Amino acid sequence: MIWTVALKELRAALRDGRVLAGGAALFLLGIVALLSAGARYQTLSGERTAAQAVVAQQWREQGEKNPHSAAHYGLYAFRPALPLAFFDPGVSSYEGVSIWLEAHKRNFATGRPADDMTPLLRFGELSLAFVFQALVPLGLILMAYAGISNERESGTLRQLLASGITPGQLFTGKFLGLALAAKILLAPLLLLCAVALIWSSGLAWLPSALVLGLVHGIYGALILLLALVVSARARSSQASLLILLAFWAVSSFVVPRIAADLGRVLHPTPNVQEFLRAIDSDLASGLDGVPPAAKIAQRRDALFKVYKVTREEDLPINFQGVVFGIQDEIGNAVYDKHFGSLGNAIDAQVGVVAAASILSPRLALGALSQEIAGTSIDHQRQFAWGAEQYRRKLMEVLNRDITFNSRSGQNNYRAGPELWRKSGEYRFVAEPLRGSLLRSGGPITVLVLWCLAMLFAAVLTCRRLQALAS
Amino acid sequence: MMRGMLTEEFRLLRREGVALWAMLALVVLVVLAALNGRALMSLETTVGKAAVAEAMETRAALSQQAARGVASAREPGAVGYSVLAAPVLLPSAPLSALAIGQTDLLPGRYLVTARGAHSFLGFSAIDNPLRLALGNFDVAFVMVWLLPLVVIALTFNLVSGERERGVLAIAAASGSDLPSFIAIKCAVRALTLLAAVWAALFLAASVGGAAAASGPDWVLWLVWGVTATIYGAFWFALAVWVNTRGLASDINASVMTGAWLLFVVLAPALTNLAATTVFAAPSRVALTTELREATEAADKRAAGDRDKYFFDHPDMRGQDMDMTAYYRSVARSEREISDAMLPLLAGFDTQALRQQQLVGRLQYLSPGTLTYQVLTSLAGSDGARHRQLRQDALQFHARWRDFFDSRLNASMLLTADDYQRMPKFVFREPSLSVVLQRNLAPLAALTLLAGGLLVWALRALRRTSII
Repeated sequence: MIWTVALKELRAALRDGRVLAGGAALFLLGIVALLSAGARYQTLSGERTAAQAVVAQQWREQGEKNPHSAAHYGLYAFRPALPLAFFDPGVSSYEGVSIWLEAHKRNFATGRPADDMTPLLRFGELSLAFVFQALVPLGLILMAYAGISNERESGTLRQLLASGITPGQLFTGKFLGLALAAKILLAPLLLLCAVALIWSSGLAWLPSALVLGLVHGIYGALILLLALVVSARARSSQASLLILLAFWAVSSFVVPRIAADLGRVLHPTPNVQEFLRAIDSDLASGLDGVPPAAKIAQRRDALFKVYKVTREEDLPINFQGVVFGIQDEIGNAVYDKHFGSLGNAIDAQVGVVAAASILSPRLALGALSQEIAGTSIDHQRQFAWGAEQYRRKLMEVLNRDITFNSRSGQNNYRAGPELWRKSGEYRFVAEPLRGSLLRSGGPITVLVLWCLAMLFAAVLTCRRLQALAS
Repeated sequence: MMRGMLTEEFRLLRREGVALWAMLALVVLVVLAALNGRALMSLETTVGKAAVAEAMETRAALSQQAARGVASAREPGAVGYSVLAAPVLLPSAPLSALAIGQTDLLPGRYLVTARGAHSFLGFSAIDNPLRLALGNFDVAFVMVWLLPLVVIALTFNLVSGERERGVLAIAAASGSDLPSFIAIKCAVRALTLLAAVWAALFLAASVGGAAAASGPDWVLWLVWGVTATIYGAFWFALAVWVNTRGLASDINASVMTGAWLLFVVLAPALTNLAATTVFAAPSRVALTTELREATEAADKRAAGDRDKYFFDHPDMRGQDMDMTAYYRSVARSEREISDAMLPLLAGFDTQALRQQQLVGRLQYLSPGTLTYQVLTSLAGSDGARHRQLRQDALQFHARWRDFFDSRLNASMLLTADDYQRMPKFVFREPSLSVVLQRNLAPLAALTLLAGGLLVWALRALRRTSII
């Protein structure tokens, strides 16, 4: 009986010119999003790989110089473009793509793609994620808002229920029929996305893509359930449509913006000047209240005792290398403190958005999708932190070289290509899917809660369908 | 007769819970959005003032040191290249709280030093990228995105609802003028919403800080409100036209939602996509590697300068370079890097301008894009003022750098008076007439679109049988 209803719904949906036109429009928009994102991915990926190679070569071929001059010359780390960014660009347009790794300083990533786009970017990017997270749900709502209310208004609901079909079978049949129709309409686009992914990056990202597809499928089912529940309970098809459209508009566009700005108001991030001033102040005074000069003096005295000397020139090492090391130790602790506080403020803002996802499951879906696609704030942080760890190791290598391969006061000391090669280069590798999913407990919980709530509402609706029919 | 119909319509509208709630929600959202905009703008202003105060304090301290003869405060190279920075600020625009636009994305202040312009042009504020990606909740958002939805909620069943309830048939049988009946229904809804919108905008101006502003600012606010009104009128006109098609209420709602999706969501996104694809910005990544190469070349040349200096001054070997010689070398390096970078940076400006020109042409395809562009332009947050700031900052930077370089090259030491003579930055704020002129064509197009559609819809209402 369920499949009879499902096939009837499926046929009706696929014969409906509006549904077919909507499906075709979604397909076209999806193709536009796919082509533009695909082209951008290819360009960015090529550019960044090439730039990383150029920078590495510049580093290796910088000639002979003092290692500390090389430290100031530094290196750049470029965030690679990940394949699934073509599906969900996440926050990548608003994050810098390169970080300068230099002596004594931890720098921010610079070169945000959004800086080079038009003001209309603030309306939102046309991406496949937008198609599947905002437009497909709208299509599902338009397909299903009258699914049950129409039967009631035309009097066929009572007839159907009197013919022996149970409310549960009717509801399930309608759900399956509409879901199948949506799947058939979206199948060509999904297939093209899969082909594009495999063509651009092989099979490496396929498991992530499958999970991404599964998550979006679950979200679509959730919206379909909601639409059918509202359709059964609303006074009329008209009221059902209005309620669902209001929910769609508010949850897709209004709640995210209000939540994001509320987060900023509740947990403001410091401004750049304030941030840099606080760092300078801590660098000058030392986090533990012991000024760097005092720490350097203490280390000098300790070394004098160890080597039983009274002058830096008599040390068998270059004390300046030790000084650089001490400065870096202090600097690293200070940067950890301030970047940590900044990260906490942003986390708190993201927490407000995450809390608002209770009202807007699209926010939870968006967060999960960005994590899986590797375009979330956390992925950017992993890139930045990886670069920072590399910078610290690089500085250690260079400082050690000065310390042990030259003597205090030997300002003309030069190192060569061997040392530059020894320091290696930074290659960012995105974390495996498991790590991203483990971090996504919040959005997954919200989506599960929404699914459970919708299932519960569907069960309650089925129980009352007989009464609602009259 | 007409008055009676109007009164009756107002009475009926009062009974419609959805309509009143929708309008009330709109007013509340506008006020909240204005408060949010004001909070952001206050923060920007505070940060700007703090930067100016800090720079003034540093300059005053250096001036006193120079008067006392402290060498580092008298050496133009040390002061210009290492110590002193001049904050260059974009003043807050009167309606900035109503439309945040690009304000939180593009730099509204630069710290100019005598070093190359590339050193401050790359500045960007610290912000939460997720917040930037989700967009701002400001009054422009409420007007461009949500106002049409309220219009749709008020009008989707303007004719069809009456038809479905049988009211039209009864009215026709009793000899009523049906087109007038529908036009009055629409007019009552439009006037009520209009009153709500203007009340909300007045409150928004009050809480957003524009209430304390001057006459020209009120003119801007008035044009801002008129733009929102014309945009609302477009959606009412569309509603009347859709209602003349003789479709069921839910189909009307679907069609109007589709139009909203097209004009408000898809058209702007596609316009942005077209502009950034056709006139793609040069590569920031390539810029980074170019900067590195220019820096390396300048460093090598500076090392040569140092070697030459110690060759010429063998007595100084083992010591630091003389401060003036050192900073002359720094100044030369900065010039070389700047000369290499500025043409590349200009490439970004050129593409941004081309993108903007294309958006300027494509904006006429969507009333949503048109309205957003006008609202942000009037509020000074469409990016035009930010581009102006960048240009003004570059010009100021040239004067600032020349001030120090001329003294450095002439071996002149700074005096306390020199600190008073340093160049001052003035932002060339476009006049009211320029701002209005800039928005004349889009506003005229929007008016023509809304007016034309309204005339067409009213004619369709007269000609089509709506029973």
